[in-house]
Amino acid sequence: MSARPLRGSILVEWAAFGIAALVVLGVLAAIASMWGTARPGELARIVVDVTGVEPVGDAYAATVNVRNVGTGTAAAVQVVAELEVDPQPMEGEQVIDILPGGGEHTVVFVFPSDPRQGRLDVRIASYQDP
Amino acid sequence: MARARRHRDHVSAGEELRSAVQGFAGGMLFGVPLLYTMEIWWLGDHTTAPQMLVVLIVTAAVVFLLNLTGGFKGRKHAGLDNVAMDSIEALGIGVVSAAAILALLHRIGPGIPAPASLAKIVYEAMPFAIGVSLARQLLAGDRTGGAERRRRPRPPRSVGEETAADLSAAAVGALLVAFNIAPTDEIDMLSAALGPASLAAIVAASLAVSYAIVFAAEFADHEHRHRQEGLLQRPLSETLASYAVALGMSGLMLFIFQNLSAADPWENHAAKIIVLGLPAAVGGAAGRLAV
Repeated sequence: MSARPLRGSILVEWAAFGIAALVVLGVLAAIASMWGTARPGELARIVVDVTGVEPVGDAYAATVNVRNVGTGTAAAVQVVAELEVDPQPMEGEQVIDILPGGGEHTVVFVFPSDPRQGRLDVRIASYQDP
Repeated sequence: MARARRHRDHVSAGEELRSAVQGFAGGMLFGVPLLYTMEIWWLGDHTTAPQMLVVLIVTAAVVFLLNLTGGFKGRKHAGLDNVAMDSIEALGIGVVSAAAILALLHRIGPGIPAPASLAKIVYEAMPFAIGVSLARQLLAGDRTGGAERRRRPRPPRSVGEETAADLSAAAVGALLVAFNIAPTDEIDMLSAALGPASLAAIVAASLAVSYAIVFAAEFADHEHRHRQEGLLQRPLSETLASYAVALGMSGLMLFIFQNLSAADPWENHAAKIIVLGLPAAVGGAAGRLAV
């Protein structure tokens, strides 16, 4: 009467422990695999792409994809867009709070003139090393 | 009966599952407020592997100490090997629960780098695993003997009184857990990033967690709960009614903290209420256990 349920109980406990141990080991393995890839203080490598321009009401929205292709994290990423267009150039600025290595973010700049009629230059002006 | 079960060294499959659900319930109660904290999401973006390992080791040590003095399986005479096994289980439940809720809130998943996702899971698993270990103390009152106190015969109450007591407790519990979250920017950030399918998933998860805490986890007095009569006293209808109360309280808290702008469309309001409804439902369920 008592031996069989006890054996079953031990099996159940070991099964529950086994599943939990696998989860914890999985986390440890993932941490171990990252050990050599990211080093504190390593600078981020950020690239920007203008992915599209479309009219929105009386203005034009330029969509910009900002990607960190490096492994270091960047904070307070300052994205600056300069539009060379007649009669006078225009400028816009965005700040992305945090951009981890491998992460990406989409920002939109809005101009009263069509950026396709001029020269749109988008660049990263600064960021912080968190 | 309950006392005899706690003295046993080994538990059945049903008890193992019940312990896991109880642990999950405790984890949700203790861990949900930190899930709605953007600083923890950001911390995940620049955490190195050694830092994650330190967090995991500290969590394991705290969980081990908690399991030494009671623990989530309520063993009274457990050896160190059993305590170590229970601690790994608590950590595993914490990791899985934290990952599931982070995915539900779109804080990890497609488009988010794997190292950042992993770090968020490790940080959020800390309060979850501690909550798992404290589940009995938090929700069943084991340490203070609250469970035994609640098992005493109580004066008979009418169906109306039972329903009113449950729904009031749900409202108070929702208020206690969600009050600190309602005025924060996290509600705006989360609701803005979630589409209809994600919001529907949060509604389903809120109902499931609420049901799990009150009925599936079988904390103190669950037999009385299952015996209750009346339209709003059955498990499913009580869960639905309590969730409606949690949503109502969420709306009220967001309104009080001026987080619902009249200029915004109703869809935004609904999204915010549903996002805050998850911690409110967890609090509401814990509140119902207290009555």
